[in-house]
Amino acid sequence: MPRYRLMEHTADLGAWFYGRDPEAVFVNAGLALMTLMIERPPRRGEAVTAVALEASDPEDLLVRWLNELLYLVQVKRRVAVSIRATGLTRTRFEADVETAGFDLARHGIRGEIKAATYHALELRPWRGRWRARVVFDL
Amino acid sequence: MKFNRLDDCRVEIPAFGGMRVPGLVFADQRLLEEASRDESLRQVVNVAHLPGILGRSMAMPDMHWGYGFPIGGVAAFDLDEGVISPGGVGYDINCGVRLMRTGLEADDLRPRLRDLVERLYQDIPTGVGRAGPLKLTRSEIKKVLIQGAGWAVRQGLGTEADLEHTEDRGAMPGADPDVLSDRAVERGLQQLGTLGSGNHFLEIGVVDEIFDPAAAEVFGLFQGQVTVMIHSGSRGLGYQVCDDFLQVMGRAAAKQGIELPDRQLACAYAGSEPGRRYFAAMASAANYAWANRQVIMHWAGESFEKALGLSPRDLKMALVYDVAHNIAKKETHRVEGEERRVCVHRKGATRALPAGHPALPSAYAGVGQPVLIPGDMGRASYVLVGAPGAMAESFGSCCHGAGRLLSRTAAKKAARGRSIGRELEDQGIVVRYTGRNTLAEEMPEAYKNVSQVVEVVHRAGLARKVARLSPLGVIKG
Repeated sequence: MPRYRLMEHTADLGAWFYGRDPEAVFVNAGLALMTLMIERPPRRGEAVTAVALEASDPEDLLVRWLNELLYLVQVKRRVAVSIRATGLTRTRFEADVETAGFDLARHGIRGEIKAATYHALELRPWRGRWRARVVFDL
Repeated sequence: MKFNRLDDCRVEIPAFGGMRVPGLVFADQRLLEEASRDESLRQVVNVAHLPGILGRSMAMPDMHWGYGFPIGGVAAFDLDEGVISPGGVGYDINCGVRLMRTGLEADDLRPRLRDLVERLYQDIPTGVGRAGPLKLTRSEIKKVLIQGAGWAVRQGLGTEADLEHTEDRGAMPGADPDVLSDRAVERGLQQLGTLGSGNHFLEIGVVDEIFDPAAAEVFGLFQGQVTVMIHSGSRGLGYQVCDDFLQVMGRAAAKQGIELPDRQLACAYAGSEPGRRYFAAMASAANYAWANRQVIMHWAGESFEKALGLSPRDLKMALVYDVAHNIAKKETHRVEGEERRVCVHRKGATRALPAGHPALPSAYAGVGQPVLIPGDMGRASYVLVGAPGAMAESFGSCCHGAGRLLSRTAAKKAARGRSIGRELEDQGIVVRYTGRNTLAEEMPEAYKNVSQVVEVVHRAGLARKVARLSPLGVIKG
């Protein structure tokens, strides 16, 4: 089962993310986001950042989470290399994110993903697993 | 969904279900068919559900699927009884276009074009999260957020004439930096003077056809003239403002009893606390974008001078105009025979003021506001001028560009086995870019034909064609 699948969207980027449970969807979506953006993502982590996010519902939480990872790349120049979820409720997500420094020359860029949006947002059970749909602004 | 074709440029979507007003789409038959292939028409319908909407929920002929509002969407809301929506502005607050003219002729430039493009690519920061040489402090950025392009002029990065030729003189009133989150401010500290990525660009062009000689003369445009167009916005700061307030508005909409057909249409009543705070934050981000384009313009001028060995006097670079195309503005419009204060949302749409409008710079009072319509990087861009039809029908609004036709995955598929860069070079267009997918995703065929889009707004009387520009060189992130 692939971690993600792209969906057609005229102006931006849409994707389905999959996992055995919602926590796995969050982890897989985060890692997939890095490969969607970065040509040769770093493989070895250098530091671990503890992330704790709150939102009004699970879908909102997913958007917050993905935008947090984008913030790390865009502002802190850190790429998530591995993600270990440490807790997920309807309104709170916690994870240890192992990161490495982003170097444009070494890692390359496929294209900038600027934000995860709320458009067509979905997180639900699907065929015995879970999947989420997110549209990103480019 | 039912349509009533009103004429060859206008289609009405009669109100049904929860729509408070009908929809009005400016499109010929072909553009309507293209729009029907994605969700953009559904989004016109969704916007019509929002409280306080006046007139019509509209879409311009470059419409395509956005999030919440369609891109190319225009909607005005009563200031007292209507809402304001971050989705109706977009993530890139005051993404917009700036056009400069020069005293150069394209034939004289061509032998040095590659050097010039390379120089611009080196001098103007482009690409993902790219920081610029300007590093703002937290106290200095507050001045940028209030003064907008005026801040850059005070730093010696422009002139009073530049402000005169910028929408709102490059600074919206009502900005309040204190309503921005810490993270939004952080994102703005190192990105002033950066182009960005995706469909942002700096393009060297040539005026290759004049349609309205009188208006072209007023705008300082002549056949064969070298022009420079900048497409950029409020960078990470604007994105963060939108993201922050989508959360706020989501809660506010629920509290205020507003039913949303799409979560991305999160909104609040414009007069409410969250509505007023969003407007203040949006205005701050808009001002950042104007400062951004002002700085980039100044540096572009310096790059031209260095690459071509010209003095400013010989280059004669001057600002024609700067327009916003993702913004919400408080304006006065005639609605059902009465003057009303409204909040006009332009999401991928440009203001288009006709001759005589009080908001025009004095130099353009007799002709109207320049409306800048970038196309794709292989074909053309246009300069239009605002016409009375825009004030009568579309709250003073017009299209903003070509509009995407192909998804990015479809564009990359179509580009497989081809060298888009080589194809552009074969047309004499020099391109420098950063992102590996950029050229494929932004290839000319991924966009609607801008000439067709412009033809619709011209025939509909929203804006008149003045000049067509062809690309010579482009830098992209």
